[in-house]
Formats: sequence, structure tokens, C-alpha cells
Amino acid sequence: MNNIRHFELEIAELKRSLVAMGNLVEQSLAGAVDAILHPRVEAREQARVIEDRLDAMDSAIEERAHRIMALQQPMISDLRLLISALHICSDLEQVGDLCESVAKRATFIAKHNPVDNPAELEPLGSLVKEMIHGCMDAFVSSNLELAKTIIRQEERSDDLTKLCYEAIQAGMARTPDRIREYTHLLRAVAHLEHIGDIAVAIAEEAVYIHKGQMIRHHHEDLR
Amino acid sequence: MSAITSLPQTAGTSDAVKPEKGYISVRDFDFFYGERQTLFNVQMEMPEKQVTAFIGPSGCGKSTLLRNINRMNDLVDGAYHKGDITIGGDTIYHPHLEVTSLRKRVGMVFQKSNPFPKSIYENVVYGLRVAGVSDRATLDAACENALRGAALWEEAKDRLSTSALGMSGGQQQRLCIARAIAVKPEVLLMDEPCSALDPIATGKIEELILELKKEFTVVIVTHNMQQAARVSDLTAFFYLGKLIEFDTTLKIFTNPSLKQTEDYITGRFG
Repeated sequence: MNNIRHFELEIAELKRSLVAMGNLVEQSLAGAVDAILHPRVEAREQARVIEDRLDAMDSAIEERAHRIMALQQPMISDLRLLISALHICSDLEQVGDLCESVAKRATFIAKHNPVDNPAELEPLGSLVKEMIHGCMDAFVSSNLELAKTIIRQEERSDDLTKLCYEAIQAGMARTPDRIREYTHLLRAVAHLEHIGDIAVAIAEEAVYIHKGQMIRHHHEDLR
Repeated sequence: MSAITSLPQTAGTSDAVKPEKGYISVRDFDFFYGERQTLFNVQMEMPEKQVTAFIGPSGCGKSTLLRNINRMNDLVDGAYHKGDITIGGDTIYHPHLEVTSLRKRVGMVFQKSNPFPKSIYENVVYGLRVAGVSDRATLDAACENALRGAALWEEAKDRLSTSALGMSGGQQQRLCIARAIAVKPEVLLMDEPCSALDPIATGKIEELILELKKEFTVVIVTHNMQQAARVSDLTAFFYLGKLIEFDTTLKIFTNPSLKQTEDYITGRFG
């Protein structure tokens, strides 16, 4: 019984660490979205500081998860949680990298010539922020309906991305001397779309943890 | 064929399905020690040439059911049953059935190895001698086959005439398996066969079980959840004399239908 109590504490601590990492990722994403909407030179450095913290958290969570697996030999839903924790941790770390890259591109634009932001850039930024927040909520609060909502939002993210690409291409045609700046903006949009995809992957993990159903690549199985 | 594909199937790779009709069938089975009922209306279909594991906390009835499959409870004062158990379609409770003939069909291996204080050779051929076989060549062949079947031949072939009691615990347990399979039973019952063994000896027995199921229908009682997961195709979870959940091992150990099963396997009760 004591051993189970210890195990529960280990699991609770692991979840707490993931939530903390998720909060920091949200902070990094908010900064990156704001920076690409309103380019500023210091954006990259601010993102890098957060990214260093995220890397440290990623290593600590992975180490903790491996230790629990090796020493406690979890089974069934406990094992699913551990496997998913490793995936989610890696996903969040990747979001941190992408945020840093978005901020880097914002810094480049700030140092060079301004570009016309696509009208859909702000809605896209808001959507991916909502998706990252929602997928972590779904994971923490076992909210399957929320997980399903996040998964369904991928389509909207794809649509907004496509519209952004079209607007950026028009901007390149309009001002060919700013193709380098627009190319950075294009990459930033692609990163935001990718972050939305990662939010979907985390929502899929939430479904897996709670239902034992692997729906990655099989959204039609999601009922 | 690559080394990977030639490995024996474990539960995780087994295509086991829960059968409609099994080789061992337990139907409407109740069991009583005098006034005390220890099994309640158990229904099970255990498939041929697969491994079925019984799990559950101490006193849940899993060993009682295992022992009933070869009627070892017959000698317990005041013990009686209701319902039926069949093996290959034959009831084991037929009034004209000799228990010794049942035991030829159903071998058993116990928690603690129990070799006779005889030579290795005589231990293995004991059942055949009891059955009236005396031809030396037949006994020699049976001894070698059984020891090979129990993965013990290489270790024992040069010391067949020495006392079985000089073997290590793990070797003695494999000797008991050899003794059980020498009479070519259809069913092999194992009651916590590794609980007294170290991890190396346990690993050998587990490897052996995966080989044995090619020829025998194996039923194993174990308290080791990882062992049940590693060696069995189907798993039955018992609690307070009732069969709570019975399904493929993959299902039981990845996504059981009942919370009670998950709570037991993950150590939250029992």
C-alpha cells in the first residue's frame, strides 16, 4: 500500500511537471505570435531564454518517466500515461523550438523591411494558442470532449494557413524587393500550422490515456 | 528465417482469441469445502494448445479451480462440487472414470519442486513404470524425449543415474515438468511453478512454457503479473471465488473491461 502511495505521488509529480512545461510553452507561443504580428528585434532573445528552460524541463521529465517505468513497472492505464507523457514532453519541446524559430523570423523582419501581414495571421495565431491550451487541458482534466474539439480544429488551422500563404504570395508579387522578409513570414506561418498539428497529436494522446484507443492517423475511429 | 521471426510467440504477439468452445470447459462450477463455498458459478472455455493464466489475490479460488481440473480435491474431507469440467469433451466427473486415467491426461507441476528421492532417470520414467511400461528401450527414449521437452537434456544426460535431489531448484522444477510430460498428457497444470525460483531459472521455465504449448494445453496459476503477461494467451482474473474477467492476455493487460481487474493488476488492491 505504501508503495502504491509512493507511485501515485510520482505520477502526480510527473503530471505537475508536464503542466508546468505546458504553461511555459503557452507563454513562449504567446510571445512568438505577438512578435510575428508586431515584429520586434528583441523577440528572438526572449524566446531563446524560454527555450533553454523548456529543454531542461524536457530532460527532467524524460528522466523521471524512465525512472518510474524502470522501478515501478507500471501497467495498463499507468503505463499508457507514462508512454504518453514521454510523447507529450517531446511534443512540447518541439513547440518551444518552433516558437523560437517564429521569433527569430520576427526579429529578421524587424531588422529589415516591414511586410503586410495577411488578414488571417492573427486568427491563425489565436487558434493555435487556443489549441495548445486546450490539448493540455484535455490531458490534465481527462476531458475527452475537449480533446475531440481540438482534433476537429485542425481543419480550420489548415484553411487559415492556406489563406495566409495566398496573401504572402500576393505580397511577394506586389513587392519583389521584400521577398526575403515574406519568405521568413511564410516559414513563420508554416511553423504556426505545425504547432496546431502538434496540439492535435497531444489531444490524441489524451484520448489514448483515457480510452486506451490509439487514434493517431485514424480520426474516423474517434467516437 | 530471421532470429526475430523464429522466436516463440509471447502474449504480446499472440493472435489468441477467446474461444466460444474450449478444450477444457468449466460449466456452472461451484466448489465447497464443507459449508464454505470457494468457487461460484464459474464458466470458462480454455483453448487447446494455448496457455491460460489464472490470476487473483490469495484465497480467490484460482488454485482450487486448477486442482479441480485433475480432481486433486477429491481427497479433501467434506469437499464437493456442482457443475462440470470437461477435457476434450469428456467429463472428468464421469462415475466410471478412474482418477488415475484422468491423471494420465492431466499432468501437474507444483509451487515447490517435488522430485522423488530417486535417480533423475527414475523420476522421469516413474509415470510410465506405474502405467506398466518396462521395456528399457521405450523407457530410455521416453526419458530423453521428456528431458529434451523440459529443456533439461543437455544438463542431465551425463548424470541420469545420479540423485535428482542433487540438482538445483530450477533444474528440479524442470525435472518435475519432464516427469509430468513423460506420460504424454494433454493438459499441463502449473501451480505457481516459479515462485521458489531465481530470475534465471524463472526465465528458463517461462521459455519452456512457450515451447510446451505447442504440444500441451497449459493452465498456470501465478501471482507474478509480468509472468502472466509474458507467457499466457488468455488470462482469467478471480476474486472471492468468482471469475471476474476472462479475456485475451493482451486485452487484460492493456485495456481490461473492468476497473476491478485493472486495480488488481496495477496493485491498487489485493
